[in-house]
Amino acid sequence: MTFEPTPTGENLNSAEAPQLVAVVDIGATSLRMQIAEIRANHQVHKLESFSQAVSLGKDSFTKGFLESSTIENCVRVLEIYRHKLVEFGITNPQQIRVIATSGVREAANRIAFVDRIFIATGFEIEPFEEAELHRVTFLGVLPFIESQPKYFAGSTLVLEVGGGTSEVLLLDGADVTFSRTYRLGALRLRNTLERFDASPSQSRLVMENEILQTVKQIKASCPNCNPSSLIAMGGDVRFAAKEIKQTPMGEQLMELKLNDFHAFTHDILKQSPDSLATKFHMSLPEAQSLGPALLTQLLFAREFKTDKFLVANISLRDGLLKEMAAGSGWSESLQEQIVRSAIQTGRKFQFQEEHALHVAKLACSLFNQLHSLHQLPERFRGILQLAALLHDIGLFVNTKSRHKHSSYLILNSEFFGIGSSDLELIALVARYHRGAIPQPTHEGYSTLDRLRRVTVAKLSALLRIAKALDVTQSQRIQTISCRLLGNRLQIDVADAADISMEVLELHQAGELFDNIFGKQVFLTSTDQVE
Amino acid sequence: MKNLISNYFNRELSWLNFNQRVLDLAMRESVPLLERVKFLAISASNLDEFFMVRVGGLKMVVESGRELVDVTGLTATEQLVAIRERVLEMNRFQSDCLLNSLEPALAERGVVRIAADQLSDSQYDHLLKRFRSETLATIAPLAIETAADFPNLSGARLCICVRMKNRSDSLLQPIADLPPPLINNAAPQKTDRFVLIPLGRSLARIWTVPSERGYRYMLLEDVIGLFLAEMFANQDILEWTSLRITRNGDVALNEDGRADLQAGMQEMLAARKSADCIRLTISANAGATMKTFLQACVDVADGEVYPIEGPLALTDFMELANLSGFKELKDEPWLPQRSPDFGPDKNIFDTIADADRLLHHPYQSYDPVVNFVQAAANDAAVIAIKQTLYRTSRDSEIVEALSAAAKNGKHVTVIVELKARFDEARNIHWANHLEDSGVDVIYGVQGLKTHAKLCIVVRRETTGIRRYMHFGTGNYNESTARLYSDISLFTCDEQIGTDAIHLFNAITGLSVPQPFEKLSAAPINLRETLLELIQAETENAIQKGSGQIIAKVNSLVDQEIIDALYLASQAGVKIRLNVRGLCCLVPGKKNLSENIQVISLVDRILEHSRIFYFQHAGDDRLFISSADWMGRNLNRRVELMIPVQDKECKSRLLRILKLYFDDNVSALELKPDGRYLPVTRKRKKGEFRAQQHLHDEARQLFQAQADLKTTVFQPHRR
Repeated sequence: MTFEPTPTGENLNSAEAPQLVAVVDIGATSLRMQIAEIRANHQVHKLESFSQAVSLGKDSFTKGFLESSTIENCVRVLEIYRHKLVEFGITNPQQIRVIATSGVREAANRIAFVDRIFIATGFEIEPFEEAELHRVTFLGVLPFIESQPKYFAGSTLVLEVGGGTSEVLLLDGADVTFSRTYRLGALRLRNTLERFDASPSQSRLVMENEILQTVKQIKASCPNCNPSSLIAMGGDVRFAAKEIKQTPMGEQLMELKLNDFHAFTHDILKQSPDSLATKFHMSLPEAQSLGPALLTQLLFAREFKTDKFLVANISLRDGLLKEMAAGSGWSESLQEQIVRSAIQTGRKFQFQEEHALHVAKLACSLFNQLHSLHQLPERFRGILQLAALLHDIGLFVNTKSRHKHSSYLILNSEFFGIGSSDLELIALVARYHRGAIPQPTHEGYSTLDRLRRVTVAKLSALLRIAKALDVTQSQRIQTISCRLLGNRLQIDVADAADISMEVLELHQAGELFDNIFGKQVFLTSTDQVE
Repeated sequence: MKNLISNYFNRELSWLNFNQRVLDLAMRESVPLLERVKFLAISASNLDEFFMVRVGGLKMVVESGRELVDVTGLTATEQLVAIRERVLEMNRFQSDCLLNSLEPALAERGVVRIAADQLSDSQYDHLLKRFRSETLATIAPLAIETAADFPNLSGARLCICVRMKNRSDSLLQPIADLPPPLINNAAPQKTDRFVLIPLGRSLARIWTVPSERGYRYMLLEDVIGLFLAEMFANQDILEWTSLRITRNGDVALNEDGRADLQAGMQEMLAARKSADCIRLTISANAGATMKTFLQACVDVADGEVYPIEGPLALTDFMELANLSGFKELKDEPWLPQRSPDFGPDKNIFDTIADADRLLHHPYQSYDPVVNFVQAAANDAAVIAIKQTLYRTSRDSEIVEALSAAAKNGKHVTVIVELKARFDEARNIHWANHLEDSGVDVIYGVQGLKTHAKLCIVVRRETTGIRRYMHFGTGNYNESTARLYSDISLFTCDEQIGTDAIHLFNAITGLSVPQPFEKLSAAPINLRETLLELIQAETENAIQKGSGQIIAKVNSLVDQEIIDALYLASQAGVKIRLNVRGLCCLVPGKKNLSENIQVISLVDRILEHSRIFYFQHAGDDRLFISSADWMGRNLNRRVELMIPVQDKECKSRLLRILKLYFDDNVSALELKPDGRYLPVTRKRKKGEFRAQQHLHDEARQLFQAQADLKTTVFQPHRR
């Protein structure tokens, strides 16, 4: 990846011909790859899927590190995948996303793993975090909920059970009210059984106990949650749905009767992984995780007493492909969720909500109008918006150095769908909304690579102008019109005749802009001119 | 026989029945004479293979001491006894057919096998000259003193054994003490000597004898017999005989022909010498001394000796069947017709993109299949070709095209199945050739034979990646495509393409199998899908009062499938099966299979296509497949079942499938007692021969298109 740490397929949909892309998902039990085409209207057209069994989760969850034989097996598989990508001509790093989940994340030698993979195969594994996982999951289920608002009128529990973790989202209508990832995974459960050398009759009790602990934690976090539907996700439950219904899963949600699912799960748990692998032609790690994963889904449905049990035929890879297809920006609904979560944080720190929202609005307007100048991908408008919303939350701590307080408060908060890499950018942009301009000696800023440094500087420059335009905190400047004239940025406002305060503020606030873009900022009221 | 009270037929006896049906064609007077010779040769070749694969396997079961009982309740020993009885009868039938039916009839038409004493002087001189110049140097007689001297002859090779009297001036040593089995009533005199003359495969079996009229020939062994004195000057030749031995070791790689017999016998297999002789075929004229000597040398029991009246190794009579000239003694050639769908001026990919295309070989030409690969090799939009090769022909154009494609920078992956029976050497040759051209060659899958026939061409088009597929029921073999009836399906259906790619990626080890939506593949889900489809008919018959299955396979052996069909029949499903070869299902049996009809069609084209139809409550499901309904196909091979979805292709395929059941010339119906009897011709119904009809139809189809062209003006434009 040459441009940024979390690329989302910028510029991929600019050309007319369909773009070939690939997503590689390094999971706890398998290493999967999906090759797809992004066609007109951002449509994802899947071409080939690959899956090979790996024991990353087994190593990580039991030993805490990845065995060199496991790493070399991953290298071997990824070399095969690389060869396949060459066949399709998918060689540009922007066409490929490689992410690793808990199996790698929890290994003590994860850095060595990532480096080894890069050296051997050229694949650069992105750090992919829980918050990003939530974002992808949300985007995956949203179309179902939006297409049937009545059906999903109450609250909905979304549960994806993976090898190492389970991801839980609670939605109220189409709004996310809760999102968290728990260290409850199918493989982890299986390993627990092996550790205790549990007999088959004890096994189920041991697993149920572990699962119910997590259910308890969720109920404690969301005491009033009463979901009417459960949307189950994950390879294991997809497999179960297909077997129960005896039809391939289509694009739509597949509803299962809980009794059928219960009977199927019960039947699976009675069989050994070896016999499951033979019977269903699956790899041993997949067979090992099947029973525990289904039991988790079953107990969630039972404990939350959901009326509907639905299985979604979507995976992390699908979500990532959708993001690549959507191109740069966040979708409107996602943006909405992220902003909602930022506003909640702002309120927690008693921010000036109207001012913050207005600065964010002006900042976005500047971002849009000056695109030819800053040339940043769409997604960064969201980063700027969040930084603008939260730029002053540091006041909650102290007026002195409030921009620095804002920065660390942001860095230590959780926002729906925002990973640590983006969070770092948001915190830095907020930090530079006032005070010293970015310096190589500044903590956080100094460790960024050049591209990210430039991005922080550009966005901070825009935020400073937006902030200056509402220096009076009266929201009197509602609309702005920007023109680039030689070495000047001319901003015209029509709403207010007296803009002297803003002009004065801009005199200082425009300095960073001038440094970065080489243009002095001028503010004129068209009202005044007339 | 136990199997008459069983719900199944014994597979070995069923197979022998099939071979009898082939042999029956050699006796059918309506079949041209040289074609009859061909069927005789085929029946002999089939029998050789049967011994090597099945009889060898059963003998090992017996030796292992395990009580392996088949579905009919017969032990291996009982099966061997029954097989011998049937084979002796078949051998007599073959000899009788040749000596008393074919040869006299051929002689009447001028094709005469002549004996040594019928040669004129000039004919004798001609043969002697040829013998001296071509043969003498290539044969190597071996003196056999003890059983240990007997060479490890490769199976199925014809030999001559000569017994001669010792002379004091002979360079040959007198035979040493014989091992105990040889010391019996017929023990040879210590003064006898034996010389074995193995006849290499390079030697022609049929020797043309010059004559003024017609065609005269002698058999190789008779020529050698004639000149024995020439070879062994100053020796007293007492007798000579021709013989053949069949060994159990020729099937090292052919495990799937008898894997059912080998279950659990791996250790024994590894420990024992596998190349034991399992059959000694010897001329019935051989004297007792000669017979005893040979029997001891190759260490076979009396029950493994097969005396033959007349010539041995009738397989070689294929040379005679292919005699040039004598058109009136052969079938009128059926030239494969061009399919109207694939014109020379049409881009093959556009043709497939327009609609799915179905071809019925050999009535329709195989050229589009070859052209498909050739076009892919030279098409700029093609990025990859993936193909399976099971048995391919010599100088295969498809192999050449794949090689050219790789040279043109396409990503070409080919799965070459080295284990294809009796074709290993040829396959290794092609595999090396392809690898040299840059093709990624995969040598099959461990433990599984790749029998599926598919070719995937991946093109990068302006609208995106598109896959074009060819699926076949027959091998990618241009030669056999002229002799076997097979179906080709071309499609670019997206889901089928995805499934096909996923199968390919699974076979080539790129991925664990991904779920299939439209295709079914063995050993993953083919058996399950078939059972589900049969079960669905059963349920429909129970609930809706209607269910129907029509299937065409080469063999029906799998017990699970048979049992499912029985259940379906009992539920009222109408089942019609066209099973060319072995069939272990008992049709028309009260309270078991009353609704099942089984026919077998053996005619001039070898029936090879597998087509399945399920009524599916009015939502007709039609499939073509590479798989027979046998355990080996469903468990131990990579096989495919492909849905035929296009309306036109479906209706045509269903018509083809049903048509065989109207045949009242070549079709035989299997009765509950295991006999195959001619299909009863309905009153007022004329003769109907399915293969003839299919040939005529293909010709008409093309002709109609050609006629259409001549009435539609097609101006040339610049």
